Amino acid sequence: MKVLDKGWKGGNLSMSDRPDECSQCRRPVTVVYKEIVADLISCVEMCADCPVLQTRLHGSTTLTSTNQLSGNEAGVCCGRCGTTLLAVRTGGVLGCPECYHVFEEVLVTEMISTGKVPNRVRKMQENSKKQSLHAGKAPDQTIEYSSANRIVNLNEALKEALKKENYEQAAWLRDQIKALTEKGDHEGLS
Amino acid sequence: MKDSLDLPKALFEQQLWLEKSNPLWPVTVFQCKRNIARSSFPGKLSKEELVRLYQLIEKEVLQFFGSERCKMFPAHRLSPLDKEFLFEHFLCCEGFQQAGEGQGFAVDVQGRFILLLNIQDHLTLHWIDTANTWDATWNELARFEEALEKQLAFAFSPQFGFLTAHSNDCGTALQVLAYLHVPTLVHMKALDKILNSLEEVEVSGLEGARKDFLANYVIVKNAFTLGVSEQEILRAVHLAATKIAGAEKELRAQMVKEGNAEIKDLVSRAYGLLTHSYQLNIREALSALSFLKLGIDLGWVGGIADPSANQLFLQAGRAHLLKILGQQDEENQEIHHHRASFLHQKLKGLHLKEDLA
Repeated sequence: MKVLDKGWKGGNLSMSDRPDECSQCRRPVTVVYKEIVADLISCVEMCADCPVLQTRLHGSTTLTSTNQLSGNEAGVCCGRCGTTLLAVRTGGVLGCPECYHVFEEVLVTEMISTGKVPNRVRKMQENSKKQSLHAGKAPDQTIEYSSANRIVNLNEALKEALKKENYEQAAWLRDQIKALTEKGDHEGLS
Repeated sequence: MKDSLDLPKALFEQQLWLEKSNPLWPVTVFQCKRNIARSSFPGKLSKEELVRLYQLIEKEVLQFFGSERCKMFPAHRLSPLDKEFLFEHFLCCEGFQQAGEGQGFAVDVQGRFILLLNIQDHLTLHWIDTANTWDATWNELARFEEALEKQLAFAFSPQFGFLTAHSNDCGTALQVLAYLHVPTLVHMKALDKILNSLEEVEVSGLEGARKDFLANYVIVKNAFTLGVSEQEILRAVHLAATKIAGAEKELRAQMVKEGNAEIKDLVSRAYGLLTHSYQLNIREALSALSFLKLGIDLGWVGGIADPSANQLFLQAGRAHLLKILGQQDEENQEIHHHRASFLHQKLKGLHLKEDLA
């Protein structure tokens, strides 16, 4: 579910994190639900199966813990914070770090099936379940980023611009490379 | 409100936006989430536990930055308007209007970063870069995160990376958002072709929807936080943003060469709206300011520089406007008129140049 427009009464532009998917259950958006209350208009995008849609249309959700989950699963919850499997499956927030351990299998399946990891990682997971999903830094690591990294990107874009004979773009990119290179020289970078 | 706190004065001056900026790429946001390993996420904590955690984080934050550079603002001591002001200033994605006791913010007095405490996660590090100093901004965030990790021990698992309240954010728990101003790509419907060729990034507008790019702003952000490294995220967003900005530059040059009457008309109308309207709602104002920025870049409009136009983008926001005018939330019935008057005042020296006159 994604709230698109809270109206201008509140004044803020609502900037959602996930534009093309229902944040409740993370499936593609198929329904746009618009609600007008006094002078406040809210526009919500969600998937057709979203429990939030059912709640909005009928006042209550059609999904219950008993009919959506099997008998064994219905009582599953995190022993530390009490977050239930149903809450996790419907995209609710997790309660504590322990939830990741308790619901690991569900989370991994959900993340892979809804495209929350790059394809290359999904393929690696299919080949080896032991492969961890995380590819970023560990707590004791430092990640530095230098202007040299930006120059590499600019050079790649420059190459593409020249290939397409976009000379204005190429000149703009060259100016940026020059500025960054001079800055790098000044700071003692190679 | 009892015992309320005043936000740092520098935030109201928005000097940040007057630094040397890139007209096509005015700002980048770096946002990183962390949770303390031994505690449940904020949604499961009692008020007392939230307060204890807030105090713990506050101590570490002030130790790192010092109380001169960074000011603490418990949420219950800020007015709704102040919270809205912070939300606008820092281009936040995560709403915190309902935040109360045990939640709050650490704010850089220069307005370069805000730390959200106990909102969705224990800590959200949120840096904005308006001066095209991507490396320095990122490195400051990374150094702070590293120092804090040594004191607080963040929740981490080898499988899911840094653990967050919303499983969609785990892994690096890093979002990099590049704000691109691309009016010609939007209006000449040339955006889709470029967007389709980009990898590992996704695109949205100021309101979140991809189909409607309010004020011709396109926000490029990393599509994944899990399964990718921090360097890969930084590289993907920077490369994608560079390509989009480059395409905008090319199209602008082509348009000037061919003398596109439609765009000239849009710039002229924006000039008219900004200097002669009696009322301006936020959409109209931002859209007109967008074409004003384009007019400045193409040399069609004089009397204002691009960084000042960027500043007006923020100042046209409801909370900024009310704060500048010294008005309170409840006195905002005539906000559209105030906005129009404010912009008339700020744009007094604005004029169309020969190409458009």
